[in-house]
Amino acid sequence: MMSTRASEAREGDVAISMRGIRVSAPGGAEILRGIDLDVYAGAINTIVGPSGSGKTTLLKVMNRLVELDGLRVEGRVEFRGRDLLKADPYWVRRQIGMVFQSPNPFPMSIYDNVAFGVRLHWKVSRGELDRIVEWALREVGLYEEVKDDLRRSALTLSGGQQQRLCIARALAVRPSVLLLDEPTSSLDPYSKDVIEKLMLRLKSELTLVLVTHDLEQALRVSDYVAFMKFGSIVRWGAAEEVLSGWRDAGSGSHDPRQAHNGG
Amino acid sequence: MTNQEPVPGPFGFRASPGASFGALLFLFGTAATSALALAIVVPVTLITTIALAMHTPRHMSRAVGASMQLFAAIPSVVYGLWGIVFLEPLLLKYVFPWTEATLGFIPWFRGPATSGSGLVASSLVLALMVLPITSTIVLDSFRSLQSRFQAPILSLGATRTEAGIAILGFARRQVVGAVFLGLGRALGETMAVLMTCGGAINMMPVDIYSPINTMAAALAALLDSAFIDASGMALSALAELGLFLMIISLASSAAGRALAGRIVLRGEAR
Amino acid sequence: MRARGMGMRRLRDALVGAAGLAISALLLAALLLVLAYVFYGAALRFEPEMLLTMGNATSGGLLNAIVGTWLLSGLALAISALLAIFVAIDIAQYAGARVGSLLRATVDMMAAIPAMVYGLFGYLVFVIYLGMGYSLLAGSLTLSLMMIPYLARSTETAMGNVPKELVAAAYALGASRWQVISRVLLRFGRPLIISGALLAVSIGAGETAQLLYTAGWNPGLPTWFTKSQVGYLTYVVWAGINQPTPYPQGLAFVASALLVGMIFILLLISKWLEGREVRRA
Repeated sequence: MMSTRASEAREGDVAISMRGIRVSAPGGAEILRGIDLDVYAGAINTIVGPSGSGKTTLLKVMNRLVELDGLRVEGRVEFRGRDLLKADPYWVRRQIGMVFQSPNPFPMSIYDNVAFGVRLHWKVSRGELDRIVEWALREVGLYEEVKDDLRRSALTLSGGQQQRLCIARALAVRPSVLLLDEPTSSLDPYSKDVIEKLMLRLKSELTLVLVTHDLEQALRVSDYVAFMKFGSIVRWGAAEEVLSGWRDAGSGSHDPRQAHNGG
Repeated sequence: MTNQEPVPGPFGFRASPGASFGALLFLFGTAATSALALAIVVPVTLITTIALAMHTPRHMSRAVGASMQLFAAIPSVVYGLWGIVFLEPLLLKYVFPWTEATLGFIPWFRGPATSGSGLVASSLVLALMVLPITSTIVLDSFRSLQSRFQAPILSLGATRTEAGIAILGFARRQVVGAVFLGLGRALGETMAVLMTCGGAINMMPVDIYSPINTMAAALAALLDSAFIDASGMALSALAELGLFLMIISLASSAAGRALAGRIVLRGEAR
Repeated sequence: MRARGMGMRRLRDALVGAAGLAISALLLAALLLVLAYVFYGAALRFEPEMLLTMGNATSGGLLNAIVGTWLLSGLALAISALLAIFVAIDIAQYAGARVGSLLRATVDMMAAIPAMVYGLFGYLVFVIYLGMGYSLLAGSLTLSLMMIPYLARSTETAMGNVPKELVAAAYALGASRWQVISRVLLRFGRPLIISGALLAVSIGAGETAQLLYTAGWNPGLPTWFTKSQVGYLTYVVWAGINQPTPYPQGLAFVASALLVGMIFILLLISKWLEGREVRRA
């Protein structure tokens, strides 16, 4: 299975450029086999594929979480002029934030959740922190809903609100890239919609990398799509190209092999 | 049971030798040894939990957890034996001269130390015995939170230690519970303390090198001589002491159980 | 808004990590030191007659103490098993949620009572009031009180470990509640119950304070369950080490080594049984 690049160059710079990424488990099993991928700035870059294809692992390479699972990484990831695999992992993680599959707000107040990352990296006065928290909550559209009591425990929020809180928490440290690992898979359709619209709004300020197994979602929000299978990228390019085959194929079938043959 | 009838007012200050039953010394000794033991155990538990859970691979911390169970299964008397034969000479020969020299300006450390037994030896032994209890609960609570929160905390750019401190903060309730449970154990520990405390009976300690006694140890040491007292008052006094000890141990363990959600039986892993 | 220097943060990270690991290593070393001291000391002072003859804790041998320890723990186990298993069954099967959790709390609190308080209780009730005198029965009864939480807990866990489908199938076949308990739950839970029993015995073997005032001491073997005192290894450790002469101290070391050895073996078997069951489930 070979990776393919987009046939035309796109506007927008490449924010992250991955070359030859190999990830293997301690026992030797290969999870990612030689991935080449470009992530475009100011766009929603989506990675789709069946479970076990390595999508989440690929995401975790970008924010250096992969090594915490005990996995070995080889290759080069170009980001802001350096190889982020060799750079300071704390700097990388502040630049590249992440949102996880199930919302995982910390057992603290809404305010403290958003402030958590900020307090880690900066000494802030109360007033400054208040401003940052408000800004982050506004970014995700939560501020109006929770402003009456930010001291409330984050656990009193609904699932969709909690996930937006987690996004706000990640945004508060002002990353330039946001990784989202199936952010809506545990949410109800309404919340899904809210977050998809949020992602579309955010892409003007950040680069987003989205992992999803929901092809319809990919259809709705993506600018670029990479399709993964068994640890490799089998198709990659502008969303229109990659997904058009599926759209023409009509309803129901999500089998990528059909699309591949048809597209 | 006639022997259990409360005798009015046996708790008092140190009295002259003779027919009096002041228990202040024992109360103080219990409080002091427990406090000192916990003062050692709590920071040690916290920092080793962070180090083991965040800085070492899983299998290593599991091995340490398993050895904690062995720790807890060693009989109290054996700890006492080790205390007498190894710890006390060590303290007397090396540690106490050093504390006399460096901290001697504080009256309580001036000494001179004439024996290795006393507050320091019994507190250290007690700390060794309480540690498995607190560390089992704290490490357990940490682990149950770690899988959910480690990734998001680290993805925000925290160092391992910062993440460890944050997760311990989430487990605040269980940590306090663990301390109470450890306290409950410390209050009631008998033999090892008996063998290392110096067996003071009616003299309050003048410095950290003096012999002391705790309620549990005093019960064990004095019960047989209490039978000699024909009036039965000595026995009553000890019985009251036992009742008091039981109440505070139960209270502490109950509080710990409420906070931490469980108790730890010796030899138990999780 | 000032950035917090990454250098300081990394330094603190490294220091805490290193300190924590160093302390852990130190603790392990302390444990090993205790063990090494005991076994080394025992080896140095060992004489074969210690294991073969009876003695008086400061002279002679340990045979009576070894037998006594097993007698006390074994009888205590039997007594507590009866009570604990029924309590566990009650909690798990019969009692409602509230009564069940109250029972569980009570059993847990029994584990929180200091051993010496049990000793005092045992002395006043069994030795004096019930007139048993220092005896095997008094000592075992007192020990059994202490063992109950261990057995109750492991029995409850054991029964909870039985696959639900098995229990449902038994009921579906028309078994009465008692039949389900005795034939299904207790049988399938047997390894874990035994594991808990071994653990309880290992704890009982190491007890001293309560036995001092309920079992007394015997330079020989007890002649009957009551009114005849019993010897036990922990007494030897306590009495022997406080003597100024080397031979009793030697007895104390050897008794300690025996105790630790026995306890570790019991514990290992207990954990092995537990591990096997956990893997099966």
